[in-house]
Amino acid sequence: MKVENEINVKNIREFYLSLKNELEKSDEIIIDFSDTVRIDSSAAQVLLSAMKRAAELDKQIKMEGVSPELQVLLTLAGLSQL
Amino acid sequence: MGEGGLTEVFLNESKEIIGNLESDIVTLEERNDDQEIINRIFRYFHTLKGSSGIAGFTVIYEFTHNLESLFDKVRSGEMKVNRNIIDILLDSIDYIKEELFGNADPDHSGKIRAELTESINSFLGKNEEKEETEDFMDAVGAYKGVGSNERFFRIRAAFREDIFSNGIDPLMVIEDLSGLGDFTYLAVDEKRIPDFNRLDPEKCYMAWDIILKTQFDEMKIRDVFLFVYDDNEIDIENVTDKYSSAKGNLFLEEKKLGEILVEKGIINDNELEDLVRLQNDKNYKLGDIIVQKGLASSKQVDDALNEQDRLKKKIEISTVRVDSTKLDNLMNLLGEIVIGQASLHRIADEIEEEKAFILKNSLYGLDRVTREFQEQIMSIRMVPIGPTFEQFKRFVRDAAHSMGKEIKLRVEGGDTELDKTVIEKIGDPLKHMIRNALDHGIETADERKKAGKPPYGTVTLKAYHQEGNVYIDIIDDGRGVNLEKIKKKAVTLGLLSPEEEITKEKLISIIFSPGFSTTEQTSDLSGRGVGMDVVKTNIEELRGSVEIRTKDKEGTLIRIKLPLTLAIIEGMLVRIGRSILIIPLLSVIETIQVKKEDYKTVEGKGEVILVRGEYLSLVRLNELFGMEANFTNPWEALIVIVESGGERIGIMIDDLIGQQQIVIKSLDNYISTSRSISGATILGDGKVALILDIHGMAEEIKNK
Repeated sequence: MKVENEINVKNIREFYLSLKNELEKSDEIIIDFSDTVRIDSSAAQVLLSAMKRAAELDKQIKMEGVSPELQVLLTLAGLSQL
Repeated sequence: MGEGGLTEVFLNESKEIIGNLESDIVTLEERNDDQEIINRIFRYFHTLKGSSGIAGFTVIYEFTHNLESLFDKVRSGEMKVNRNIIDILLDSIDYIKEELFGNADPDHSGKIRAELTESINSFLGKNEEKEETEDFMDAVGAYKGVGSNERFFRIRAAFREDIFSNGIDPLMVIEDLSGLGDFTYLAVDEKRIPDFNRLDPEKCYMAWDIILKTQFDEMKIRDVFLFVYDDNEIDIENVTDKYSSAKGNLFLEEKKLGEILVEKGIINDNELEDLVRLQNDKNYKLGDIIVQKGLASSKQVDDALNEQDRLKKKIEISTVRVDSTKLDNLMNLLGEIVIGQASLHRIADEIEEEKAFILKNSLYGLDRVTREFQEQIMSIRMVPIGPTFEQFKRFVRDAAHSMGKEIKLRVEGGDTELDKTVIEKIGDPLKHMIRNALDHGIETADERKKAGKPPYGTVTLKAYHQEGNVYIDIIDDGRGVNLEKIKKKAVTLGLLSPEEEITKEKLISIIFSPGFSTTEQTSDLSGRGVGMDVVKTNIEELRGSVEIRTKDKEGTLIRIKLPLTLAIIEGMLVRIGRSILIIPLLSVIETIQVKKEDYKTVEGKGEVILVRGEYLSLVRLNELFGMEANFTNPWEALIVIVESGGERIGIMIDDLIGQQQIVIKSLDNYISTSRSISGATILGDGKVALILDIHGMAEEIKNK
């Protein structure tokens, strides 16, 4: 699934629902962040929770096209090792 | 902790810091470009400033702020260390001491403060107007160790659910925080985030636990949380002293068993989560569950548990601080236990054999534990003598200056440990003896040059362990003790008749006589009331002894011998008539019976016995203490051979009773006029028994 330029609390519900949808139908979800420059806490916690759920379902979530700027945010949000 | 508690902690800490400062500043005078010492001194001033601020000593806070600014110039190399700066620093420390611990008249100390501040300011090139003092909170934040300016903060931040509606993004706050330094640890608390299907994405569940390594102070960190501080759970803790000493990113964090096992790759995260759930539901021990489920061998779990213990220990070592009176109480209580045990042993002796055997067996076990217990408490009570030695650096410096001499103090064996009580009481006698060495021993630079010695004199303080004792040597390379002068003085004082022939040793020991002092003019330092006799008494009160050796023109050595512990000794119980006395086992060499022909009375020496070709003085305790004895003939009685200071004597006793741990209870001076007694103890049956002081006894015999 491709994501928008910025995910934040304004469009989080959209992102959450599409991720939920993906998680139900596919075994492997690839989130394409190549257009994304920023995420906020709401996005971070959706991702964290989704990862946990995916692990329970034995599914995988992969993140692709992560820019260095975004990588920093992911790290700070606990989505990637320090 | 109440108000009073904080002040107390501050005062204790300050005492320590001031002691360190004094010794470091004096060392700095010698090694004026030692960056390590300079940094340390700066750090001490900084800490003193911060903690005085916290404890509400604002006067000290402002004063140390100035000192810190002054020393900052030294640190940055802008100012060179010279005698003037050292003097100001030392005077300032004297003032701080007076302000904190003295009972100075406030007007007077105010004046001193003003004078010092003025000279500090003149060094700083400032005029009277005081510079805007640094923000108070800044200093408070920086209070815990500045190190290489590196501080560690632990930040725990949990945010309100509705925070997004205020337009605040916690992640952005954390991003700002990361701009202040490096995160050496970061964890997001995922447990707060609901299951994916029940998640309300517009609510906030984020919480962080972060350790930040930064150059900035706490205020700066607070600023980051400015808009969220009040209504979110934000906790900022300065953990510098826990982390700064650790190399790199080594954490002294207490780890859970599960975490250790995951780290070692024995189980994985998911397995751990299941296990923890099981653990919480059923209240099992995690280690047991892991082994039961076959996820790890019990050895692996044990290894992990050991590692956990090690980590815990590391944390404890860096944190435990106990009030010393608690240790004293503990030692006293242990003493009572030892007495109780002795009384059980006594009961065991009186009951029928079979039962006595069982009782004794378990008592031996108990003995072993108590002994170990005692060693443990002792080890807690042991403190290195280093700080005591260090404090004399300042003293020697000041004294040498005032006498116009050049004197260096060398310290060896500072890590030698002694009982806390001994350390507390040895300070004054040591000071007195060092003072004597400076005053009488070390010559002026001119005299030294003439004698072909280096112009500066050296006084060495040396501590070391040997045969269950601790020795402290005070060595100076001065002119040695002037025996002629002592003899003359002794004659004037009537301690010696002019014709009397006397050995060098005896002559030297006259120094320890009450009222003895050879200085014609009493100087500021020595020869004022307290003489070497007080020194000797003080040391003997610690069950120690003191000895002087001197070589003309080469120097003097004063050797203090001290016992390792003061409270409990191994004692040998002996009986004379109906009394029981105790001989410290350390002094006992052997117990013998003599033949009639080996016993003699020698003119001027009294009774002697021949033991393996050597004549030893014989002591009859019944005569010494005026009590009854069963045997009056030495060949019927038992003789205990004891040794003190290389001299052996035989003590006549009726019977040996045994050996046991003895808790020493001190006797008041008016009870114990005899130097042959060092104290008393309570025996198992509640009776009091006197403890012999072998050293004192040997002295007493010599003087007879």
